[in-house]
Amino acid sequence: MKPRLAISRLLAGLSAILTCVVLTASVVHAADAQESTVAKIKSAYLLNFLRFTDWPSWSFDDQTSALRVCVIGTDSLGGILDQTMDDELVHGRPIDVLRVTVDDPLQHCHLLYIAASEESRLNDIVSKLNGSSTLTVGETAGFASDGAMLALNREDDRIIFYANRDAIRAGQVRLSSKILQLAKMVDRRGR
Amino acid sequence: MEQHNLSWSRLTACVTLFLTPFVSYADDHIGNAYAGLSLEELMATRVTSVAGVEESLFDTPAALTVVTREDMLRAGHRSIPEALRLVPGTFVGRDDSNTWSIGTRGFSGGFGNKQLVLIDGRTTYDLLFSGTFWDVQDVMLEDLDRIEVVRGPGATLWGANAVNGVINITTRDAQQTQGLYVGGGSGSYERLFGEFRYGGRAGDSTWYRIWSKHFERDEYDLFNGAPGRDDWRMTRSGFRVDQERRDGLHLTVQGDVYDGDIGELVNGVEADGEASGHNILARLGSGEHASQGWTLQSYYDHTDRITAGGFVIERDTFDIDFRRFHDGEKHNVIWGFGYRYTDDMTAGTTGLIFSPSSRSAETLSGFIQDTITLQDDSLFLMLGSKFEHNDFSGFEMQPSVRLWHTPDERRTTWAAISRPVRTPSRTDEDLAIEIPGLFSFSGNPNLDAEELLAYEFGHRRQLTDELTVDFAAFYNDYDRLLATAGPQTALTFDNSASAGAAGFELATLWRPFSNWQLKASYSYLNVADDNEPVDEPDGGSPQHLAQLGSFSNLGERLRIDAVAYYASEIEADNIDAYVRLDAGITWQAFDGIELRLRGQNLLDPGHPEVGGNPLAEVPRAVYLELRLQP
Repeated sequence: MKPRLAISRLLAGLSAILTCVVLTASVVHAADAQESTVAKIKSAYLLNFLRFTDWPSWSFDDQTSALRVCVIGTDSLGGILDQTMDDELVHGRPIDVLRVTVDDPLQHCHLLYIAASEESRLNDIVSKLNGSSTLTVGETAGFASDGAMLALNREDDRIIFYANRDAIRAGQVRLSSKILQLAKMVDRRGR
Repeated sequence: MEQHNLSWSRLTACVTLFLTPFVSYADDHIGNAYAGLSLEELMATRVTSVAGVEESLFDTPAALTVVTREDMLRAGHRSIPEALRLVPGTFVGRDDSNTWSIGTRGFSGGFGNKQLVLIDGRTTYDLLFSGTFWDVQDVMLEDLDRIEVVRGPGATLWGANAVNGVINITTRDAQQTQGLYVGGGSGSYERLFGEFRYGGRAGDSTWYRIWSKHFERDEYDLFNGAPGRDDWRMTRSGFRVDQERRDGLHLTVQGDVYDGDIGELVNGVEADGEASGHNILARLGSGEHASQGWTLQSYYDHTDRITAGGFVIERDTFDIDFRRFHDGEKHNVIWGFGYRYTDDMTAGTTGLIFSPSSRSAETLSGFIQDTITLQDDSLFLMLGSKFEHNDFSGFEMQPSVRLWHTPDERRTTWAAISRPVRTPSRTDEDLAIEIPGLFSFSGNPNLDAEELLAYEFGHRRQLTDELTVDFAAFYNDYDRLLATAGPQTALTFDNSASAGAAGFELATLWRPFSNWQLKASYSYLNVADDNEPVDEPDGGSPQHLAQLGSFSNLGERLRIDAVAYYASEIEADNIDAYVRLDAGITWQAFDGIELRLRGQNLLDPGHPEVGGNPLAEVPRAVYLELRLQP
């Protein structure tokens, strides 16, 4: 191969690639939207928790009624949670996402995500759910040691989750051993 | 006409590969790309800022590139040396099917002895030529965490031979690799490969994994069309245990054992060499995030190699290393010391021997580094030095000073001056080659270390939420480089060469959408040698390197990825410039079942990447891979 030919072929190839990338990029850039990776990962965790949890049949109205995912407090998930659960089927059931307050009948929720803003009300919430079939998930690690069954936590640049064995035992839901295997454990006294 | 056709096919390929993410954009946008991930995958996912640069790395005051397991798999690379192609400013030249010439900021030629390579804290450096035998450096790819490449000196923390770069390969904590994984595939070059891992938990706070892998790779064709007979195969098995102890300490114990046949043409005849080894490492230390603590690490490593030509090298290495760190208000101090003992045995071939044939060497080292906060959260000064005594060149001091400014979370500017050294190897001191009457070479036992005075400057910036730019420039002033001296019949080495190298690397990452990421980089290198050193810096590396990668998720189950690499000519070796295009499709057929189709070097049937004798060509290749994670 003559060097001159080789170089012109290279340039042709490179410029073709570059041109199409720049074109594509400029077209699509306009349609851009902001999003939060953390919220997406946390929402994906919640979806996984649903997949690996069994609820008693009496907690549902019928065979096809939805799983109720409730959010209490000022959470950071926003619409991303709704987008994540949209169109998903877990155990053959669709998922409803509801925003609730402490005065709502929380025991009707299959999963209750407790936002960091509820720290001071956590005891109230947990005691209201005593003996219910609600899986409680806290937004920060401290919630697990304070009585929530599971809690997400950002550590360095990863999101990991904690489990509180006592709280899980006290509830009426059954968590797959997979969740317990992967979780970091806390006890009542904290980590 | 032919030229026209080529450009056309290239353009079509590029439009397909790079444009498809846009077509799918409307579908994917409303979903959550992470929704399909398993718990294990979510735990392993790093939270990245929108532009994809990890927040914790953004203020690193060095020319740092991280290649994650995901990056490597998506680019389609099946070995560590191949994955290094993704690093801006690092030249990966494949000599043949089982040999690589890899250099950062030049010096890939010769023995590529100016960079340090570590796998989970174990150095792969071989004192025989103070380089890395790339063919035996491998991990279970599924369990890889990341490959961190620091371009430029890293001697203060890592020690001698971290002259032009440090390549730090880490695998994931056993806690993150739970469950069963089975993968395998076949292709035109990757004839056959398979891997298996099982990760489990023992008690509340101990996790483990065991793994095994095997590959068989085909031979390359030579430039003249003849078969290269350099096909090879290797089997490797290992384990890792991680324990979070009640006292807050983290314990890691890991090891692996491998054995393989490595083909080669010897005097025009096919022959097989063999390489094998095993190693075990234990590390105990405070958790990563403690504000003060310590780490104690020790390993034993054995390597054994018989080349196809009959040369034998066996090595045993024992290493122990202690580090202590204190994070104070104004000072973050880290200090430590280490001891390494290495012992080898060689058996030469006709005309090539090491004298003495067996040699042991000890290295005693210590280092201290202080990061001083000059202005809260924004201005930092790092001062440090490594002190080392080795049996080859005696006492070496390797200081560095680094200053960086981070006015906000989106900007980091840094500058550094360092003085690393490359200590002499067995080759430099003890090699003897004799062709009676024609040629005679003998090493020089009185060599000094090669030294570098490196000036670096860098700027990293997140321009928008989606666009990040990373720039690093350097001037390297090498002195006391090895050069050959004397007549053909009494050749030896001395420290008479010197060289200067200047260059820069520019890397950008653009994530226009959550499901589409583009990475582009360009690097420039200009080496001027006063009198030609042994490594032939201007001969071994291309002056211009560039690459463009596109990584896209089409919905939750389909990914299309493509990377194009450009390397300019290597004039001294008569190697033409080339563009290499790799592309692949990944399809998640069901949860836990994934199919990957990969094409490598798609633009031409074969081309040489570095000079060699015989000159082998990197071929076009495809492979299909099935991955199961129940």
